[in-house]
Amino acid sequence: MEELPNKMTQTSQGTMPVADRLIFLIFAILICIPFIAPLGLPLKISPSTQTYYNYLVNVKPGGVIIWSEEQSFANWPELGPAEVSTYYLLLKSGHEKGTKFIVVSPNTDGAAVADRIFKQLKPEIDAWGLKYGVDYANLGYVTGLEAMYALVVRDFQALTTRDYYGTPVGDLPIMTGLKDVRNFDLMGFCISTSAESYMRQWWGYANSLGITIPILNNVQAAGAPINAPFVSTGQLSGMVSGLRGGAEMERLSGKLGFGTISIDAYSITHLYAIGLIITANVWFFTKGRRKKE
Amino acid sequence: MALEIGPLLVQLMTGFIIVGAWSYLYKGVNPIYRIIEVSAVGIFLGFGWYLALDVLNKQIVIPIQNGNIAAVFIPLVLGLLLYTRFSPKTAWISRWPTAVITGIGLGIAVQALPKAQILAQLKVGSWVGPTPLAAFSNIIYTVALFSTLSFFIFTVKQKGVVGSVAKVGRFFMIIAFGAILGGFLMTNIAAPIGNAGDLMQTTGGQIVTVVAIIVLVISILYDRSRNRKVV
Repeated sequence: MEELPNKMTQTSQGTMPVADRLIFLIFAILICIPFIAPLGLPLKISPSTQTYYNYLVNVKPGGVIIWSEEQSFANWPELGPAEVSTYYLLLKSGHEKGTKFIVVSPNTDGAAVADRIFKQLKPEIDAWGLKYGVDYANLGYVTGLEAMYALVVRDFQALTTRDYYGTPVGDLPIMTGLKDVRNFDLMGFCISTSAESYMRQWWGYANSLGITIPILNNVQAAGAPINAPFVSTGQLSGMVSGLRGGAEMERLSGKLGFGTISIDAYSITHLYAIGLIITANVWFFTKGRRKKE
Repeated sequence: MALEIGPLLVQLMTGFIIVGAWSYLYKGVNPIYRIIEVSAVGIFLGFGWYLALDVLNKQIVIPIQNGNIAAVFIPLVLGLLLYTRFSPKTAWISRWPTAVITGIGLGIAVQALPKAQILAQLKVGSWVGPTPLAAFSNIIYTVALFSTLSFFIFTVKQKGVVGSVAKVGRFFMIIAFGAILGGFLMTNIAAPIGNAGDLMQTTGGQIVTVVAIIVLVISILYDRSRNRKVV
């Protein structure tokens, strides 16, 4: 039997060609450098992030904020920084203006991610004197996806019987008087892909009632181009995307964290990726000339 | 500064998992990588099971204990019927709960779709913008919309004017796909940066990194001594 080419043989055995491994090795070194010696590259706040931030800090006193936590732990490095900043600002708003912050999760990881963020912000929560069940709540994982999104805006009390920690929802004072979208002042969601389901159920129902409610979205960079049309139409009031958005949010909120530290690595690896694309294209388009020579 | 043993163990474990996964880049599928791979699947499955049982407990078991059997009876029966799939003889019964789930999901989604995803989007097609750049953007948007749609008209042969317009649409699609692909690149870069943070910013991660570099150097020297062509 004819022997397979070297590259194919290597790949079928589960190892990568040398050139590919070298590319990843350089990549690994590049992402580690800024953690050892920060470069302090400039970061400009984008208008999109600024709008998102403005909505978060301008909730009316005593307003109710509903947040859908749909990120998984796998997305934490990218979505985590903006999400921590978002929770920080909304809890701060609860301290300063008495707003109420309720999180619900349509995926299995989301509730645990929300719990992780609340635990991370425990020093601030304690310092501000915020109480669980009164000022903020984590309703946990609720099944149903599309049906669940619809229930949030149509019949909020029927969403779940117990919160993430097993407390009956009826025992949480924060839930008192919350029936549907008409009782909310700000809505938002953190997601890795498309916002279509939220637009159909949240924006669609609010629009059918003649209500304009700001809806915010923290999305992965991969999902940003898909959700951008909803920002153009005003269906999404604000959108923050990717690790860069996270770093911008940290700068705006004043609570610096992983986003700020890692943004140098993010920039440097993008320059590396651009360099690789240019090199590969030059190599490809000069292949014919090299053959002639 | 004293370091607590609990967090250090977590950091060491995290570092080991990251370095173990990255070992694929040097050695391909190796025993450490396999351990990490199957552990990740196992942990994820275990976590999923825990959450599923938790939901069943909160939504079904506790209401039954409190005497609210009527409220959960129909969901409970439909849920149990799903398990009839396990027997070929009774598998057909599972179509009923599947149909209910699909029907409800589709019904809720479809009734809201035209307004949110078609009509609201069409409203953007205004020629007038607040700034010259916005007006230009609206024109581009309109051209992109119609030229891309023309690419998918299969009842007319794509020749002449229709063919030319479709070709323009193809370029707009290439640009859109490029933007999405670029987004995926950004997303995929963020994940290893998160891992690098765990390795570089914690004591346990730094210990694992140093050990990994030493092991890597020894491995390269060992491979060379045996004349293996690895790197």
